[in-house]
Amino acid sequence: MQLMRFPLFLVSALSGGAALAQNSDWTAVNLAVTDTHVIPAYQRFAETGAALREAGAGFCARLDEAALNELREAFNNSFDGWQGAQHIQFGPITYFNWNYRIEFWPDDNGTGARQLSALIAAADPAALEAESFARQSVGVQGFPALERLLFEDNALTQLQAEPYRCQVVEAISANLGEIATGVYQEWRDEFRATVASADERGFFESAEDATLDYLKSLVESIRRVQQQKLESVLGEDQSSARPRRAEAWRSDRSVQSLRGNVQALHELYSAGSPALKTVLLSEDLPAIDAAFDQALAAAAALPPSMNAALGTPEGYAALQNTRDSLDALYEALEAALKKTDLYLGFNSLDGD
Amino acid sequence: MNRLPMFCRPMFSRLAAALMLAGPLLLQGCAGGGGANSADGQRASTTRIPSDVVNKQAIIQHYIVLARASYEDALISARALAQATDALIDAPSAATLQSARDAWLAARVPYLQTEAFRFGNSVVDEWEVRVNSWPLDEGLIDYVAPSYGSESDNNYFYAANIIANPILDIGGISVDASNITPQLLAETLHEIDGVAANVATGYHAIEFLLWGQDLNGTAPGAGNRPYTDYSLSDCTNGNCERRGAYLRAATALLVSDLEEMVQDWQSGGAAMGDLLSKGEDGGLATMLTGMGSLAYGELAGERIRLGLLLHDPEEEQDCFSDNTHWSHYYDAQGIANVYRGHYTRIDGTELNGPSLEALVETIDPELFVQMRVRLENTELAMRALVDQGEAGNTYDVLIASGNTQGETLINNAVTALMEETRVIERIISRLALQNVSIEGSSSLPPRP
Repeated sequence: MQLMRFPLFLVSALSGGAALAQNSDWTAVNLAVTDTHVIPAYQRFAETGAALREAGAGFCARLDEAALNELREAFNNSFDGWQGAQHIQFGPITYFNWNYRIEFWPDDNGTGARQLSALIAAADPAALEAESFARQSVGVQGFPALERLLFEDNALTQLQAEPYRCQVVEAISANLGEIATGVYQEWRDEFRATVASADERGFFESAEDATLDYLKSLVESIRRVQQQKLESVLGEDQSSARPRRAEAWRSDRSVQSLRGNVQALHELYSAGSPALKTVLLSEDLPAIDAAFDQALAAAAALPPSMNAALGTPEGYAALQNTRDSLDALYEALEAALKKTDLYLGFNSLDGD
Repeated sequence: MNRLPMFCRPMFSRLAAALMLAGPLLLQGCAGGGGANSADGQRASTTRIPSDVVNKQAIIQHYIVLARASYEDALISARALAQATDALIDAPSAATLQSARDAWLAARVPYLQTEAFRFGNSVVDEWEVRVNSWPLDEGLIDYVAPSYGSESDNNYFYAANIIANPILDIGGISVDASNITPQLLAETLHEIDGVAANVATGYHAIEFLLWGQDLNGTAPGAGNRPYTDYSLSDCTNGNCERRGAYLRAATALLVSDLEEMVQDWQSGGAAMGDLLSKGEDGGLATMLTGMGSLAYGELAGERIRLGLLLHDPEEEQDCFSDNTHWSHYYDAQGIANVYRGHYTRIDGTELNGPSLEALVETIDPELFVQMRVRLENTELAMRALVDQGEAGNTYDVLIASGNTQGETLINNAVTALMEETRVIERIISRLALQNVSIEGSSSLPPRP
């Protein structure tokens, strides 16, 4: 398995030299980010997830081209919702393996596809009951499995021919709706308070620790998007590109996801007051702001279809340009962080 | 915080929260794992350590002694493995197959303990893909059962079957495998087409050639390759001569790769030179990077936790032989070796010397105790997996969907490793090694 390793190290900082001195200053940043970015992002995910669950309910009873297109649209909207929150790596998303169950990807060994075939072949109705389904392999519970069922060749014919295959679609849609609602409610009802009281001994060791978790989400996700969503697809040159390593290539929405990621990362960095970026030295902000503008512009300039872009020199160059702009953004953030005492723990994305 | 009793609220600790597979059914997941916030919750201060208190250079020199001895042992046991596989190929029988399998199991013991030297030492990490790559699409190498399937989205060579096919032309790549040599395996077939699952070399390729596929799923039992797969007079499954040639080439390659790594740890060798060039704090940071990265990302994550998430026996490190519990155990042992400056060689010789543990004891007795407790907890959790494995409940049985006892045992091991890693990070912090552990920081200004 080639999962990126995301360390769970308790991040730590040295006393004395950080940009913010007071615990209350860290808390102000944490709550501004939480209220203007994180909770709204999860709210969108919850709303689109609920719509997916509704579109999936009774889907098999009315299965035709119109119903399939309706569900595909609900899939797209909820996947957009997820792309806007995918970068937030700590907090409720780690409960009950919600993160893996939403999207087990990349799946280099094709484990999810193999297990999905086995699930359908076994056709055990009990496996699709909500509690039981939540305990199946993460590879069959989330967006990648749903996308395969909704967008593979002859999807409608296959769903009509195999009732159980269609019931899996209903089960995944309901499962994703439950999870999306759960993550949002946990943040709104519980975890916001945990962040707000992070100066107490508890989940966080201090308010600064919570800020460091936001910074890790920012920096590591930039690298993750660059490496997993672009570099692994681009290969060495256009002739060695690997379109099927792109995220959600079957629905040809890889570029849309990428744009959503870059916009969400920029929001994490800049939304609210005081914004997350205020923990860095002000002299470093112009360079990072400019690097973000470059990355946003590069993503906006991409052709809408990754599959098509990989087939032309211009499209390939635009993808390379986006990759390079994310690399430059990462470097700018890393350089700025090193001038503070904000230490993000092992950076395993740079390692092996 | 615990207002809603419908399921254990995950606020007690990060670990308890993160490890539960699903919500409502997993009440027992709440019982353990609550220690993350307690004794080791304090943040250490970061005063500089006077250089005359403990000789860091001596710790690093002793670490090199341990690395050299560990890789020498891996080499010695790989040579014994090659002898045993040669005996199998020359005179296939149930007895020669068994002794080859025993030699492979014995060779894993020292090798797994070297894995704590992998992360942080880039010379080792880059070399490692040749000897211990995993998981593999074994259909590249030899025949497989129909349940394996014949194609993969990600790998054109998924079922290439080198042993059955002297000439291959797949996905626009032509391969002349009529002569199976170490060079062919290493330079042409290994990771062919840039796919990491195309593992043609190393311990796990050899393991597949000795055991064959484990077709028992999550039920007990390992691979069951017959010795007649190597018989020239009574050949089963075809191509026995080529299968023997493959096994001979793979074991020869393992020996030469380990010879190279032993050389890398001699004076003037690449790994030793690279380590010494990092300076004293850089050397200590490398040691702790190796410990933490193996404990957390590799062992707890890739090798233990992921298989449980997927309930998938393909995600088992030693998936053909079902030796995984011992591999995990000796990985954890290797981490402790580095920290304690201790290694028991395969001939029973005990190596002891200046250690990180002694350094930590000198500067922070409380941290010293924390780490000792964590190492003991890990040892106990790993021993529990070994006990189960030896009783037939191997890792691939424990990860089955619905095996709640197995889930608890596996989560205990993951929890122990993660808590151990937290203390490793605290040690890094206490030794003021922060900047050194981040790659590529040398050109940046020092902290204000």
